[in-house]
Amino acid sequence: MTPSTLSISIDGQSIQVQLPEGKTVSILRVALAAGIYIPHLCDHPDLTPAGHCRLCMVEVEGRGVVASCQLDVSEGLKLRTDTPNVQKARQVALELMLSNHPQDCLSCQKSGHCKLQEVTAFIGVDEVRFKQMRTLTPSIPVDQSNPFFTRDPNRCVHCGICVRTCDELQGVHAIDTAYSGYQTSITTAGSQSISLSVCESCGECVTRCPTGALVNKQSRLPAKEVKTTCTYCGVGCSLYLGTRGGEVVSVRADAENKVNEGTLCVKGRYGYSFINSPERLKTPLLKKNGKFEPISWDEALDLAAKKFSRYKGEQFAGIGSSRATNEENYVMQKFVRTVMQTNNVDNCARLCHAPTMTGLTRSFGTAGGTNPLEDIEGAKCIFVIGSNTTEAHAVAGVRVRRAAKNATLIVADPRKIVLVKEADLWLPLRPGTDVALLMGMARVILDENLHDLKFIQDRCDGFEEFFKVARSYDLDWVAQTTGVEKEKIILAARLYAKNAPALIMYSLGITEHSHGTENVQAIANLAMLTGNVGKPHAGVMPMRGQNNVQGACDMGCIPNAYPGSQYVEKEEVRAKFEKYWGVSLPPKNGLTVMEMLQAAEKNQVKAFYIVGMDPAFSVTDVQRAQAALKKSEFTVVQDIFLTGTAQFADLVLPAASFAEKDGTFTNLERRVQLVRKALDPIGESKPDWWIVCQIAKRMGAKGFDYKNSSEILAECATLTPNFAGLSFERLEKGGIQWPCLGPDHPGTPRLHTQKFNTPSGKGQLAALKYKPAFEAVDSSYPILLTTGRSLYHFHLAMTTKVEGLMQLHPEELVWIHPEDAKNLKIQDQELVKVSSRRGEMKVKAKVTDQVQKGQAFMTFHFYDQPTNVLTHQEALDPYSKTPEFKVTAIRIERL
Amino acid sequence: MNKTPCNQNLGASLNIQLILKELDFEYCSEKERPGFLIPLLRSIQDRLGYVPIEILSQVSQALNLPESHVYSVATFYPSFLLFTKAPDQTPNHTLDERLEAHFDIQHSSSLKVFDPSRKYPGQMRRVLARCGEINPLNIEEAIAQGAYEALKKVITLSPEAVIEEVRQSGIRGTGGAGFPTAQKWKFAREAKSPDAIKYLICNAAEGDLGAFMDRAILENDPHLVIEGMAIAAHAIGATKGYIYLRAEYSKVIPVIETALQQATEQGWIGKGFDIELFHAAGMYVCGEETALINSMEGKPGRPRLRPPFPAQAGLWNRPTVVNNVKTLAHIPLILKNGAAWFSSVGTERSKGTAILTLTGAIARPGVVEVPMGITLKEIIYGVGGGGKNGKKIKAIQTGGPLGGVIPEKLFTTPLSFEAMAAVRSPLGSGGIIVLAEDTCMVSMAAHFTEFAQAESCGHCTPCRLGTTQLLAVMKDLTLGQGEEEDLGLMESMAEAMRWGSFCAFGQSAANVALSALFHFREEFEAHTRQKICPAGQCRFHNGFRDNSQANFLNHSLHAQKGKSK
Repeated sequence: MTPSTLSISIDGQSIQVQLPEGKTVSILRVALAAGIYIPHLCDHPDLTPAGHCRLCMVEVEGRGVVASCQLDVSEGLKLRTDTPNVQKARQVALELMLSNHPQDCLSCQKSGHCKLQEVTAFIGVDEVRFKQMRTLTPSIPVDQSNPFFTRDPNRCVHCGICVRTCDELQGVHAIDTAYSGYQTSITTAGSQSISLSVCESCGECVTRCPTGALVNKQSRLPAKEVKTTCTYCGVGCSLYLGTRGGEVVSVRADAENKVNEGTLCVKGRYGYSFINSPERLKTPLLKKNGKFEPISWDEALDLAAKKFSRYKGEQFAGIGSSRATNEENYVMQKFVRTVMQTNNVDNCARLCHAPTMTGLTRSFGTAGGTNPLEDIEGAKCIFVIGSNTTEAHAVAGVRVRRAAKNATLIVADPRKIVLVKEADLWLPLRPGTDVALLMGMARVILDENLHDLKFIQDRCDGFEEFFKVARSYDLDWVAQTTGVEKEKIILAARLYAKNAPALIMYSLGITEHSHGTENVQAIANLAMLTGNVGKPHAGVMPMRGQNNVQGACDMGCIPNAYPGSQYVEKEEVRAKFEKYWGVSLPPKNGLTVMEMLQAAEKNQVKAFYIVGMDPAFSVTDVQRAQAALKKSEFTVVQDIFLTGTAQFADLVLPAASFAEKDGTFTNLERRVQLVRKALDPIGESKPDWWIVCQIAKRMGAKGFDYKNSSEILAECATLTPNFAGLSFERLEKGGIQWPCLGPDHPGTPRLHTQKFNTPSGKGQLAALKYKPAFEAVDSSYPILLTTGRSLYHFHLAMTTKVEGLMQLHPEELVWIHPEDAKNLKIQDQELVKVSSRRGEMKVKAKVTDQVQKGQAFMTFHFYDQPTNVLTHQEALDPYSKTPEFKVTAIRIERL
Repeated sequence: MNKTPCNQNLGASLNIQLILKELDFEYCSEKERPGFLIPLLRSIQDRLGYVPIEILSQVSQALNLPESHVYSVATFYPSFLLFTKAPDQTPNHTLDERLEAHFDIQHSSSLKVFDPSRKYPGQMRRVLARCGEINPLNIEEAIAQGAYEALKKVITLSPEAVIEEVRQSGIRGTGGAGFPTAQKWKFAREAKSPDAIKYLICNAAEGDLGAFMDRAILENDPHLVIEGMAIAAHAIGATKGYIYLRAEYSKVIPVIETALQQATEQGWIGKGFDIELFHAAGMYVCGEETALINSMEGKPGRPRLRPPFPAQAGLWNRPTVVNNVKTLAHIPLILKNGAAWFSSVGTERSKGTAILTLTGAIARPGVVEVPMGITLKEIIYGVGGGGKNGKKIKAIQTGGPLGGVIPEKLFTTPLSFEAMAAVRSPLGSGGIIVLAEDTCMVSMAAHFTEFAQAESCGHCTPCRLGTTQLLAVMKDLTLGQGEEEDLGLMESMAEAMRWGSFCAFGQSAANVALSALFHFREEFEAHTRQKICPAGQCRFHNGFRDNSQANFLNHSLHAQKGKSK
């Protein structure tokens, strides 16, 4: 069916309306699109019409005066927007609002962009009548409790846009319309202050509020705005940074971008004050007698060049940054490989999604998520496992919540995370038992003949072996192992298999294990078994953590591959790079982050160049990691703050933040997007690529004479088939999802639509055997700790510099189940000692049934309470060398 | 329900899961879960005498509803008294009680409707025939007087034939809107339900001031209504019926429940169509069918946008017919005696009989049934016996709180939908409040405006703020602080409310005031020009209106609601 066209007449002007298939549009929206202004306050293009304000009245032939937001257009409709009746209905409604609204526009922050002012200017006021009206002046207390915005109910016109935003778009339901009649108020449960509600501070309501009822506390208007990509998580939202006088003063979401469609989370919208934090590094620092002293760039670069020259080869380790741009990571790995002559280069993906690279490469042949984020809405089943999506990837979480209204949502997570509320089924599995659960589900699918045999025959290898192994999983044993009732496992398998297209979303709950790669393969198995790959709304989506963790790996900041997963140990590949770069390259794979640190313990690695990573606090068993860093003979840390790791450096180099440079980030759906400079670098800080190139040049290297990041991407595109079509010029028009094979290639929103990227072209079903987690509880350490992110923080250095975010989440807490708390005689908010076989720390307890009995949860965002003193690095995933962050045996004691 | 005396600690010991079990919550589909919100809150209110604020988070968890939503519902309905702890005293008189006192209306829950000693000459008792003559708790007595005879006949007829008979009778909805009943049924009959479930709701939310007809029928002859519902269900293919009972009518519950049980035992209902009682939680606007449906779905009772009409997509998006008690009570008689019998009385466009409540300053108050088309004079003086204590009658107020007034000089008007609409005071659901000569029409209008203001749901600007503004103006008038220009202001606001409001409530909220102003302008002008109240009811304060003083409204509004946090 083609979209239908119909014609209506507004004020005698004939208007052709193109209706999207199966949809209707209100008169108001048609008129506005045609450039005919009808005053309105409560209608918003993102939301369903509500008919509260009654300002959009029009007179329709044959129907009289109606609200144009509530009547859909139909063929031949004739209406006028300016009859006396319309004017009167509108004007009186407006006057009623004004008589109930503070008359102090001059002191209102919204003045100038207030919609109430706009409609008043258009409709006008009958002075005589308005004077006659009684002035109703509500005086309700203003809610200042949120660090980022103010709620002033006295300026509220009851348009309900905030309520619908919180409900329809965000799915948070922090506010609703309470009471009735004149007392109607938009408020939280129990009319408490907003900070005590479930509000997630995303600020979406603030951006849509037409009046001064919801305003940002930071009220300076930007002098200019620059479109760029968010620096926080891997979702990669597009936003406008507003600056004034060398300072970032505002953030506005980009409504045109497909990733976030105008949405942002609390960090993206409000977490920008770190950029201008007084704690930013402004000059290079050299440690002299245990103290850092500022030195000049020339001194610093010469020193780095001189020292690095002494550590060429396997004794050198370089760590790139999944926070930095693609171009900077490209330059970094090129520096380590060509100048330092080693493949000891890695990035923090090692601590999170390295198993995604290894696992998805083994199963599908490509180390990337299969589908775009827009596929979430439209899937019939969404299976979220090991991903606290609403907190760690808030904007993607919003899509899941929205999608869950019309789709089956299964959540597998040890914790009762926020998404459980929207879920049809929650599988509270024991940490580390994912393979058992997923293979158990596979067995149910096979037993009940719910698998897609045609897809398997056409597109997959290894079915026979897989079938045999899957059938060996006894469901009672699976239930016992995972702690999930058998009936729920069966139901989950049925729901997933019967509701195609189905999408699996996973994150660190899957990867940060001593068998993370197999966990990922188990997910891929399930998708292939049911034919849920390579189709719209069907696939496997790893929710990658850092803004550019995908890109840092893509760019070759990994010890086994050059950019675009071109493997170091393949001779013809190496030859290509040697030829282009004009040097011979080391033939052997290098060390991963954890291996580098462990090699430093044995003095095998003697020098570190750490760019934008904080391993002294972010890896497992940080005391061990710190001891290793102390042994290093020369360490250079390059970052925007004096991080925890910088304390272990001999030389610290100040880097420019994402707001101060050009480049590209690649998000979790493989979308390469531009990062644009909004500010000059703070102090003397410099973009990472510039710093790396300067060191390389001072070491006499050729091939580091880039004028800008655009040239770097161009070089990368030349050498990498998957990125061949990428250029700044093209990206200026919008992000592109790789593979992008040439200048005319449109990019690839969905992978594996025709064939898989494995050598055989077929998906590899993995016959996985369950392996228990390395760490286990015993009588001394009886509680199982898992870790994860908070909505209000990212890692350590950035968000902890943002006052408002610290107000929302000020300190580390250990979450324990009420029964455990009772047994341990621990009260909520009581300071307790948490210890593991590695170390101990003091932290307040949060008693909550969101964790299960016998389990505990902590985040890892605070230098003064470093959760990773507890975790271990005894066992690494054999394929990806990722440590087992998610399983730690601990003991909790009263002080 | 067990009513337990108020106790400070009861909130904590209340077992939500147990209450839900009693409410048969476990059998409910996930989509219909919110429908338990109001019954659950009502159970808590009934048990404790209030709803503890802290319990709302438990309610939210038990029903998996957002806490803000639970709060929005709990605060919307006047039945739920939200407190942090048990209140020391019961709230002050409700607005309804104050208004009833003002208009000399016997309180609805204390009124003894059918006093056998009271005679009303000129009645035509069709629907009311059995009322007062039988014991409503004994189905046999009703059957002995013809109950369920029509149903026996109907089940042999096709649904279409039933609808046709009803169409021919010309019966129009008796809830106030006067929509042809057969047409509503036909829409619902033809509407497709996604799962073959259709609903029939008997609207017993009777909220008009001084109107107790629906209660009288349900209380005295419940089987007539049940039979009517069973016939309607057969006609439209409804599988589930509800009686949506006004919050204040809890005393009627045992009668209805006994009748439902007896009718089920005897097999008149329960085979493919069973009926459940839904005890509402207040708010006048919930008598409007879409607001009623919203409240059954556990939402605040604010009207919905139409289309879709309930007959197409009503309760839980399924085809739903909402019929008034009196409409349904007429149905068995029409099917038993035929359409021609029904329409043998009445006017061209208003057929049959009307069931009225006569109240206020009238000699013989009560519920009566008269043929449509007789004059108001015949009703007031003939049936009702004229003014109370021999007082002269000034006017009557009809059509409920959103209706109008008819001055004595227009009592020649016949009782019909069309004739009364023509004099700007609709028949509505049949409540008639008689106003004696010493009634101040300004004060009368102010009282009705207070009702409209208090019952506005708050959805749209013209109603939420218009009723409030209007009340402020009316109060000024009764205090002698009004100005000549205020009358023009009233008129233009009323007009804007009529054009601009979201639903019929707001569109008509200023009607009584406007109708009073239209018929008794000189009395209003006496208040503004000479600052005198001709009826002597208003006590004037000297002085002029001061805009900044309008805050008194907030105080009175807060006091009115009887809720605190």
